[in-house]
Amino acid sequence: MQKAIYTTVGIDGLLPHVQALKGVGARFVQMHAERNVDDGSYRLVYTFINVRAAQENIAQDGSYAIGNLVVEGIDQYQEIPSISSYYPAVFPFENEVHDLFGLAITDMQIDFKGFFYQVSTAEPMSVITPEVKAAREKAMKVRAAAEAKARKAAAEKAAATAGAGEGAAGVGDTAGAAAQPASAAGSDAQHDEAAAKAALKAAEMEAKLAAMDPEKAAKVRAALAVKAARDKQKKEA
Amino acid sequence: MAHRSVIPFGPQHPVLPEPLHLDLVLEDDRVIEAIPQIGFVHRGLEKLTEKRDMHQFGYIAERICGICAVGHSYGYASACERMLDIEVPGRVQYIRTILHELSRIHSHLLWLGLLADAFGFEALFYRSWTLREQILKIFESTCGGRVILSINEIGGLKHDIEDSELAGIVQTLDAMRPDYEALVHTFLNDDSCGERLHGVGVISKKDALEFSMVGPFGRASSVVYDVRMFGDGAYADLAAFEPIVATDGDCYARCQVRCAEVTQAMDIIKELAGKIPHDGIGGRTKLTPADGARGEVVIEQPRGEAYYYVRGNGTKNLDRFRVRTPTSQNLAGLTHALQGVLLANVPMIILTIDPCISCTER
Repeated sequence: MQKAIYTTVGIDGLLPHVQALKGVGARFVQMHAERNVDDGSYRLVYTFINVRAAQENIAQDGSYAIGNLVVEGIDQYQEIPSISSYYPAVFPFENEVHDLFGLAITDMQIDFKGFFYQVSTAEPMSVITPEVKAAREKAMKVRAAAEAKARKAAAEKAAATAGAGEGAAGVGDTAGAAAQPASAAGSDAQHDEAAAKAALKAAEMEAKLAAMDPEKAAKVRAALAVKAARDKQKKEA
Repeated sequence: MAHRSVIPFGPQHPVLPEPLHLDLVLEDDRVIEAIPQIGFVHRGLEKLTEKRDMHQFGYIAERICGICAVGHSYGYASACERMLDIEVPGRVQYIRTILHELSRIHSHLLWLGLLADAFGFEALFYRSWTLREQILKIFESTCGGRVILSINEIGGLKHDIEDSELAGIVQTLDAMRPDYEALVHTFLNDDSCGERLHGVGVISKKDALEFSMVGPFGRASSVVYDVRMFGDGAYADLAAFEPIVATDGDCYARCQVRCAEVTQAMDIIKELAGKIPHDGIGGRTKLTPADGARGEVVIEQPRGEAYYYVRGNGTKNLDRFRVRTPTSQNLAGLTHALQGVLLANVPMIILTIDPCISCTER
């Protein structure tokens, strides 16, 4: 059974890690780049397999690991050192990352200087199309709406539980078993009911906001915050 | 004093079935340096994940290459299943493995034919491809296509292959064996073959490891590495599996390894067909990968280790699909193997790494 291990390293830590892997006899498998749609940064993934360790693990528990070094948060044009001095087989991938993503890999053993692939669009894999961005935003909205719905259901459940507790308290009073004054119990129940209503209202508002356009939602949130501050001031006055 | 010159080799050349360009730096007729250039048929298939959802992309993954098509769909489906945490039934794993091994046989027979053609042995080329035709007929009778089978999908198979059909496959392979053994005998013992292959393009084990070479190209230089030896999927149920290795590291050794791998693949198919489980063929599942979920697998394609990686983003489309093919991994080894050889041997050496530029260009 294959397992994947991801180790996040900084750009400065890349070469020492690769050197250590080379030292233990790990095979180089591949490297590739990814673009983060949300913040536009890049991620590099270097993959290795230590065949000897894999065989030992398979003999022990039947599994083996594919090791990955992940460099996160790379800005375009930030210099990334080439690992080709340790693993010469990386040269097609580093040139590919340069040509298709526009990332700057330094000290490549075989450097095609941007002519490895004959591309009609510069850095084609770094382009985030409006369709991709829209699909991503839609998925985030759907996820937020689902979460808000779940929160609302939880709040309703909590309100129902509070209502049942109130009923139970009333039964207890009638029986005269408890010494607690009836007025105090009623006050607590009213307070719980108000809190549950407030939670429900907040959950409904959250669901509405999640379904809105993010910019509009931000404006509504800001207006609500101002209104809450004004109400608080009035109450204090 | 030696005369130095640079010869452009390819992308159109009689020995190259696909476009690969090499700048060969020569001193007289000896190669001093070889610089490869690809990118003539780059299609940007990895970018297509933006426009095609995960199920649709299975068809595209299969069309990365016409020879390793089964392996690509197998690797892609496996990577997605790992990302989605789907466990496929045993029968699915067996059928995928059987088709993958059949694909290995057809790929190696195709390569043997091309090798024979490269050194001008037309009859051997013809006989190799005649045998290969029987594998393509098996594909056609079981899946309806000769090259693109479209049987794998995320979560299982589109249709089953009946036990009777599997028995028919084993019967066909058994019937092929005598002809195949005669073919191998010619490749490995005929003087006209041996003269073109022995001692040509030698790569030592140390260099093969240094260049992370994969597949028969690496195993011909004593590198004991074959992903199948890790026992993933149906390979775990094999009674025994040993990678086929040769020691000489030359073109002849690469031919030896591929010849033996065909017989090994026939044995694997026979063994798996005999003990295939009957636990269903899975099926299409709802695709909801978590944002940032990843899946990756390595499989042993006919040309060597291939790597597949998928990353989900919470939508029906993948954020990233990555395939690293054996040929792209072997390019560094190829440039090394070409250093110091005679110009006349360059086509033979290029051919013995079995370059698949379609896979590499994606």
